[in-house]
Amino acid sequence: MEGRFVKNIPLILGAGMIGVLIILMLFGPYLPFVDEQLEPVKHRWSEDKRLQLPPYPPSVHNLLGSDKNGVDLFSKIVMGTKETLLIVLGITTLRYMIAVPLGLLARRQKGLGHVIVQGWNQIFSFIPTILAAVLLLSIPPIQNAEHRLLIAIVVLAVIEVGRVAQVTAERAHQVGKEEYIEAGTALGLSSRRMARSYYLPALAPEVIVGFCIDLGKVMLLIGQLGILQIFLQHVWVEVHFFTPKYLNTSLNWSALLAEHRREVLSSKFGFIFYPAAFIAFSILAFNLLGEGLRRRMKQKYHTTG
Amino acid sequence: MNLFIQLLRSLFISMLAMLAVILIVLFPRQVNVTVTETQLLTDYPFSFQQYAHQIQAFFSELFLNGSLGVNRYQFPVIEDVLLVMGNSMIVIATALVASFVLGVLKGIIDYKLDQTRFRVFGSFGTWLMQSFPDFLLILLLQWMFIRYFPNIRIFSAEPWYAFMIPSFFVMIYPMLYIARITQVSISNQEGMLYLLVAKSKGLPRWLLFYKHVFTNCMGTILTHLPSLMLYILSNLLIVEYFLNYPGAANRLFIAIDYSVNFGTGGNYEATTIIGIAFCFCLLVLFVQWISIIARRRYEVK
Repeated sequence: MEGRFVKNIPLILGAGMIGVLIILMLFGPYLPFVDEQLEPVKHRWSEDKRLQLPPYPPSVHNLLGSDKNGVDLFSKIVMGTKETLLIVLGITTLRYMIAVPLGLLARRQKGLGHVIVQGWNQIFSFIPTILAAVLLLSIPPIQNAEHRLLIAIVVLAVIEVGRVAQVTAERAHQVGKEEYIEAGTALGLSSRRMARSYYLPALAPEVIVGFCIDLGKVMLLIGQLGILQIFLQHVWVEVHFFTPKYLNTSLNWSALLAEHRREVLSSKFGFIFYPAAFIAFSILAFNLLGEGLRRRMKQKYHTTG
Repeated sequence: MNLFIQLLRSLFISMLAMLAVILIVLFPRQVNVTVTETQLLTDYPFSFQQYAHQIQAFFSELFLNGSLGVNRYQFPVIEDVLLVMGNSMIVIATALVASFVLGVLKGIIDYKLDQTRFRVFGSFGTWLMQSFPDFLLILLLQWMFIRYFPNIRIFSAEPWYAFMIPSFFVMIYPMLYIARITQVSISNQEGMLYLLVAKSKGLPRWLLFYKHVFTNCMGTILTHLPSLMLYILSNLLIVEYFLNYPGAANRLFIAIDYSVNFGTGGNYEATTIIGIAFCFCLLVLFVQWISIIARRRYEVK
């Protein structure tokens, strides 16, 4: 048992990386080198008594340097961890809560459920996911909604429900050909009972693995939205005479990405690189976890059956 | 199921989906901005009448005049859409062919590598690369180009090689996807009885592989062709946006006219969005049909 477990490197790595993220999320604000208040440092005297102005390069004071207001970048990222992860988790959970029952409804590959799943999947395949997200998130009632974050989470979840439901339905269709399912049907069990006690346990491993991989996909989508300067949470304020602007009010990583996006063009890479790297880190963590779980379940399946 | 009915059904579902896209796009989103002496106010009047009017206007223009109207530059939408689609088609076609061919090759190499001690470079390497977000890769490359190779013109659509850089960026992820599918379906063939029979009859290994294993895998790989197309289409936007390439996905984003000042700006071009979505729809449908027909051909064998 022990020996087999050790071999599953992706699972260990993935769990370890998720662990790091969770520690950052829960205890990050209390770490000694994290400035919880995110206070801007407008100027600073260097060791040889020279005046320094922000943005500061990486140093003992700022592990990853600071932005142009003198706010520590590392602290910003750490303080945004919780929000980012909760948003990603929220979107993915909601997506699966809608998609899995819908997929089970469509398992016979015919009828209303099937048409809904197919249609849903197709609608959003003609417009790339990211564009569908932009199109829907910028509808005025959603753009100016009071609880924009909640609506944004629902919209981003719904866009890809069709894809997940389709995968679930196809898999359920395959499972439906197994003998023990036919036995259940022969016993005359209700459709609901069949879905809950026969299909769901058989599908659970793949759904869990898919969930982990979708966490990564959602993270990527949010990152892409950040690149296009679309915030999940913002206020509309007047920034200049008669010039209103949507300003980001959140610290999540994609918002950080949006803030610094333009700086690449002037060859200042650092600011945009760190949030992007953290996003990459968490996508990798989710994928490793998914792959590890897949292997683990495959092994289990082989030893018991 | 009859092949013809299958093709017809996918056409029908596409038409339904296209209708839904039209309904989403035509949803009224113009915000009235009024300037008072001291401040700027916005007002969003939604009425179903306006919505119905927009839908009616769109369809009457489409069916009576056979056009989609003019865009913000007073240029016929259809010509504009065809122009940008032309620019994107080169990228899409190059990426589709290249990612498929290279992906299958990479899959075969991965499968072979997995049996040697260079396993890390095989399917695990493919998988690891697939886990990196595309925009990080593009950002890194962009920064590298700007900083170290300023004489390669990555932001210009003029040089003859302009379509190759976006094709390369778009291709990476779908290629890895196909490589994984190929590698998995080849290893699924392992130990199949028909292979043992063929082997016992003295067929050489390479012939065994290409005549039997590969032909069987082709069916599975081809079923993933529509997903490949979707990956390419969704990568297209980020790549075109980053490289400022005058393609369809970039034009689509411009047509949505997302403004940081008012949400949806005054230049929202509904008909352009519908036109480009229609072209994407045709592409996806086309690939779906190829996939259905090809699957049938390989299944019969």
